[in-house]
Amino acid sequence: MTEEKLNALFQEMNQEVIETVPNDLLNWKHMDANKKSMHNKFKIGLLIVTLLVIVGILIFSASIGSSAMKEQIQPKVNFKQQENTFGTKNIDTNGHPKNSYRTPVSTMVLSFDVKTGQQLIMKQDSLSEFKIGQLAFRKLTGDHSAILDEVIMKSSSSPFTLLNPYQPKNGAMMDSTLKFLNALVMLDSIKSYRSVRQFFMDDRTSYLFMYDDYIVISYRYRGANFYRSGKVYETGQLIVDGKEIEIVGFKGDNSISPAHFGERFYLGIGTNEDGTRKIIFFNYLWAPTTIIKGHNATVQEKDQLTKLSNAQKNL
Amino acid sequence: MNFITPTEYTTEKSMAEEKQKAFMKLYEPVHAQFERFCKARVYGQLDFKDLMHDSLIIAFNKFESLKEERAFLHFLFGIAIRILSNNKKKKSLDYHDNLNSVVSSTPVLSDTERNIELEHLKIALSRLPEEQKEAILLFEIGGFSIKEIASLQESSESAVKQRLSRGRQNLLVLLTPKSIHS
Repeated sequence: MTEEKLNALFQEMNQEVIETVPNDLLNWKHMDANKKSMHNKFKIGLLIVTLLVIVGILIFSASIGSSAMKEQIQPKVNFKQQENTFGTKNIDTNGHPKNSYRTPVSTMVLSFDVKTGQQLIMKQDSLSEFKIGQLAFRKLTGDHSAILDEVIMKSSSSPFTLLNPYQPKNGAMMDSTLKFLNALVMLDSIKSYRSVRQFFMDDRTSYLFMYDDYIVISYRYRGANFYRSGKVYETGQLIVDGKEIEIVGFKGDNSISPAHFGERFYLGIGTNEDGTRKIIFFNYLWAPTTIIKGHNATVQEKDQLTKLSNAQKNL
Repeated sequence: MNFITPTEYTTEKSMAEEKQKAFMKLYEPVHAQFERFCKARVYGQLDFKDLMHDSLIIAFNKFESLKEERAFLHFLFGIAIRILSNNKKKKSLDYHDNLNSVVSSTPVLSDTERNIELEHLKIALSRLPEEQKEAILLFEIGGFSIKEIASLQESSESAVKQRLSRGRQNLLVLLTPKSIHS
């Protein structure tokens, strides 16, 4: 190939037949006179929609942040707030020292008749007038059983039941008789079953309460809260350390927190030689893990719980 | 919402028609030149009609920015070059790898010897580096001067001269009969 030949080829290329028509290429239909105005309308519409979306997001985030919305979403009971109100005074209206989570005191404060010096132990029968709604610090929902049972029935038939199986019954004799009705036990100390070290409860409102077929256990020690409540669905007996104790099985409800909702829980409730109560927690194979020592509530302790409960209602 | 009145619509429509006429007045004389440039420029890469269409639409929309009618050719070719440059940045395709398949599928429209030689020239051009190919096409088909090509390619005149020289040398080598389909 020579330079001349290349130049000739370029000249031929310049004379090559063309294949297109200008009008076809330009496609004039895009040049509608109204196009510009339509374009502006679209822009304005898009701007309005964008602004509305932004305003909606702002309103939603503001409503989420408001306290009213928080109350709807979160459980109504806040343990920390309750403690703060509780620790405002060191002496209650009856002249007895109040407990504080900062300055734990022994809960073994008993009531005595001033004249006779006799210890005033609350009659457990009188708890019939002590309603669930009056429990101190804990606000419970009333009608729970129907809905709860329905939910438990559903959850029992789901594959997740494998993660929350029934406690095996071969170690315990279970029947349907409730022997510990209407009991209010104030919890004093807690210890591991295989240890001698024990811890006192942080405040005087740690209690075990059984009302008809409903059970509540609530305590606080070393800054940790423990709370479970639920409907008792079976009771039984188990021999621990050579002594027969009662076992109460209940299913956690969501009256305070949904953390243990639907979880089956067993408590062993026995009596010590000195007449005090002991509450035993078991592991999965019925081996005792934790023992809580408590005493039957005195009249004053019951009153104190009632007053604190009423104070809480007025918050 | 503001709606345009029939009078406004008629006015805008007549303005658009006037613009269309003015554009076509400038474009029609260079249409053949522009098509040949586009065809050779994107040979084996993409459909030259797409490049022409895109370039013309942009040129029409920016027609008001054209200050002198003499500069229309420069204006139009500049748009086409920028479109190709942007496409290259986005896709960065290795066209030469796909060239054989494109060439083999490109129909030879005429069986005359002249047309075959023109096809060979286009194939050889497509194998040149982009800037060399562009400079040669602008020079040979667009009829631009070296100064104008330098302006279009945003480079110096000496660089354009070098591209033209090396491009032609490469074409001569490539246009030997054995090297075309190698």
